[in-house]
Amino acid sequence: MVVLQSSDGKAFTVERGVAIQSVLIKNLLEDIGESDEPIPLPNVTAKVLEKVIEYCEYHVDDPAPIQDDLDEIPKRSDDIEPRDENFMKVDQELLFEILLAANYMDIKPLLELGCKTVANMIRNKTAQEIRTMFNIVDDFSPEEREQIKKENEWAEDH
Amino acid sequence: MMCLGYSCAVYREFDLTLPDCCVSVHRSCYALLAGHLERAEGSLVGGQNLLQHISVHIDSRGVLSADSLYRSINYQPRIHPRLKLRQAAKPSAWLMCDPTDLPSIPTPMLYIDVQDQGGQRQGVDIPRGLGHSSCKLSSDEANLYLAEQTHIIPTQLLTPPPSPTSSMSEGMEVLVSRARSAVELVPERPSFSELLHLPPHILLSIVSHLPASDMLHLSQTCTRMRNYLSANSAVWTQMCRTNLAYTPKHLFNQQAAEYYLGIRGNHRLESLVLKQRERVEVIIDYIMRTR
Repeated sequence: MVVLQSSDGKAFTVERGVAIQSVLIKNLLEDIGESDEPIPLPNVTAKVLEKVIEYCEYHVDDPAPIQDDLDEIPKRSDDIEPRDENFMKVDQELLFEILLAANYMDIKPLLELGCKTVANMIRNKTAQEIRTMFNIVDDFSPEEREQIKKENEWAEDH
Repeated sequence: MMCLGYSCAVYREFDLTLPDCCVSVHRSCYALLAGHLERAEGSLVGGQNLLQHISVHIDSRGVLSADSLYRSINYQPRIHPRLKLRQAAKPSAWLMCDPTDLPSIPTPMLYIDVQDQGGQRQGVDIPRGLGHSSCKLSSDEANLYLAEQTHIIPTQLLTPPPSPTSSMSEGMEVLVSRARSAVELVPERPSFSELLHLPPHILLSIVSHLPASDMLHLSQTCTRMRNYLSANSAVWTQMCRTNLAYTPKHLFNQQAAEYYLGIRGNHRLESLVLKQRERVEVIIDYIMRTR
């Protein structure tokens, strides 16, 4: 078993197989060997770590992803498993925190899942809808707005 | 680039007066450490202001440069002999700092006196974590500090998280103390809840899942996104490299944008390019075998 300690000091005991889905922890365990001491994760809060562990526990038996340096298949974001889709149905703040935790802990499948989820949130939305969804402030000048309008007209014509 | 940011023990023994001493640390981690040591010991490294010694080595990314050090052929870290003995300064040993994350540190400004060469005093605001309340900076040092202030430090670095690949021979005691230090020094997390605050490589990954029409809508949300996805942005070259099986070399940014959108927006064209590439590979294989 491996003990992971969140930034707010909460300890989570997980199976080794679950923990080593994080490349960061895997490498650390390889370096230090077996230990009962908690592994500190100063960039991950307990709330986020709990979600990350939930994901890793569910995917513990997944086969290792094939390392294809040349992506033969165009990237898709509509191929998320229903279970993962439900897992990612969280508030936006938590979603981005999970993304950052996956990045920090180097859990590629979770990072990919997070990116696909955000991409799906952007899909088929207008600029205004995207702004509203992600709290983006429209800081265009009137000239820029006019230019964008022209660009859109041009795009519609072609 | 490694960061020794959470390794207080290193700083306690680190002798900056030796020319061979060299470490890498993020500015933010340095600030955390400096503040921590200041609180714990009252002064930094023999009563001298650490910033005065190391500010000249902090580059525009806020990182103490030690690239050449770690790139040396024999990979011999030029560190303090005592640290060598303790085997505590192996770059791979310090891994609990995410270089993609430069946390924002509350830095209340402290007004300190600066003695210039003419004996006149002038004030310079220096973040409390970085300076010592009793220190006096010379005019050059003050200028140096002010010049540092003008550097644009990106909120995120493009470097991936470090992977500790080489073996770590520290004892568990060191690990435990490091863990405690790390937990003690956890900075307040800045709000990353907005799309625009994501690290560039994550944003790139999100955008690479979008078709051209959605990229267009995203680019029309704000000036930052518009610049990010503009035709002259370097993001297209990155997108081609990370997402396409084949990308012609030596493309300008605009050409890369056209190429990426041309291929990604047209699945048929993309599969044709892939087919073409397979054929070329078959020919190359054949030539290699018959050589």
